Amino acid sequence: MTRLTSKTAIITGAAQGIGAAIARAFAAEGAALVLTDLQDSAGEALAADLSATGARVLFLHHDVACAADWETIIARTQEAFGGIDILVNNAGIGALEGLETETEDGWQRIVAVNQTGTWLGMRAAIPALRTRGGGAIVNLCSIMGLTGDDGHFAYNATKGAIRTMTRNAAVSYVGDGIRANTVCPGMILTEMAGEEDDETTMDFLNLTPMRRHGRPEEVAMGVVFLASDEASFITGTDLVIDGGYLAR
Amino acid sequence: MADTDTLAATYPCLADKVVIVTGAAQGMGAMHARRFVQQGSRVVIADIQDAPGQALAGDLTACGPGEAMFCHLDVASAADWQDLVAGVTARWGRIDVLVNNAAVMAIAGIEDETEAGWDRIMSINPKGSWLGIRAVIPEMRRLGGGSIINIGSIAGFVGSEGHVGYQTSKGAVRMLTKNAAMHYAPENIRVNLVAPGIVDTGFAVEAGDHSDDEYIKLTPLGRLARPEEISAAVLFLASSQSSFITGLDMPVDGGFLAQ
Repeated sequence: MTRLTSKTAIITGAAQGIGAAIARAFAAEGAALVLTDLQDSAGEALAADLSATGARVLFLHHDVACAADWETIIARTQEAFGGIDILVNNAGIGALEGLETETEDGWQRIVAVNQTGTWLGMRAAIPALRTRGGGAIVNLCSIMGLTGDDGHFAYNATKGAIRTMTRNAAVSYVGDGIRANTVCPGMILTEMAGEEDDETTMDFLNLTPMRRHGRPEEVAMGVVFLASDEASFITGTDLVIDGGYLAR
Repeated sequence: MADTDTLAATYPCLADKVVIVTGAAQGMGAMHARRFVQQGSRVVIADIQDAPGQALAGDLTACGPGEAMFCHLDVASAADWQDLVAGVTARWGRIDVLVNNAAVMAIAGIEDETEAGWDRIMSINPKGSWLGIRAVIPEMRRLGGGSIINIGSIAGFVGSEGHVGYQTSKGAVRMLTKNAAMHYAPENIRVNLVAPGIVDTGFAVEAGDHSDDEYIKLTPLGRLARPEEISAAVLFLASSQSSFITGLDMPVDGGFLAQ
């Protein structure tokens, strides 16, 4: 398990759920890690856990919607590990409201975290990736960035934006050796999925040909693949991990 | 960087798995076969080209740690598929992975294509993949699952000049993938598409198409794919690390489709 040995990665929203699974998978593959989140105690506990297994890992408090925070994260990463090779923009929030019931405040909040946060992260990390002679950006999107959902209006909107922002970055920075791809999970067993009511969950599983939730680890393996040199010819695409939802 | 001499990823789950790779005597298919054997898999090199296929099987078995055997296969022949499945199960007792890689290329456009040319490409690219899936499904069902990887192409996603038969055939392989993914998901048989851009095997150039230089200009990454870069995606999709992935289009195209 040495696919990410000698790489340094920043993973946002790493305290729980898919982000924590990505952190564990990256640590197992030998990466040095900067884990960031708003939730300090869970994030610090995970970092301590991974350190105990021999991983080089640092937890930092981080609001991804705050440009100044990003400056700090990049500086601290370079200080601790000497550079950055991989950025995983994983932090994201859900929104259940539909088009008519969404509020302006709700909209601003989800756009700030999901969309602006992803952009700010790429903007902050790209100079460091370029200095390193290249690197990989993996943005966590969703099947709801590729197709329509009932309700979840702002979530749908921001995940769609992540998809095209990723393509923009892929095309713009290909000359710098920077690859940018999305991972698009379907229904995964996490805290975010737990916010849905039972009926919505059952409807969703009925639309998933594999008839089950995905596990956070199954998403993490896709992120590892795209971040590693195994994916050296893959840029500007979407790795959909959805049990066949979009194949219907 | 992934290259022919080093093995970046290891998938312990692929050890001892029985993997059929069609069109494996040369080019990209030969690299897939090599990579699986390096993971400890037992690989069936299926091809119409007997001499290079047999030589490769011997070479890969000598290198190990897996092994390889050659089986003559015309992918367009249902009888050949039946013989192949019978031979593989007799020798190794199972089939875990099928890589439908065999394909032919044609550059003719709508007005230049002939009926014979059209029928040939359809019989190999989509029909061969269909026959392969149909042939291996009973064994995968018996094992409680499996992974099928169809090799498509960026030509199955976007239009180009000429290539009417090739484009149509690769578009068909793409939808065949989604159909099979839907159909067999409840049986834990995953079916995915790897869609290479231009790979440095001479496949497209030999067909009388553009030069490598022209292809490089069309690819944002500014180079052709190395065969092992396509194999890396195939191995990932064959492995249990992709256990929640089915019906996927995975372009390995240096950004070709992103712009």
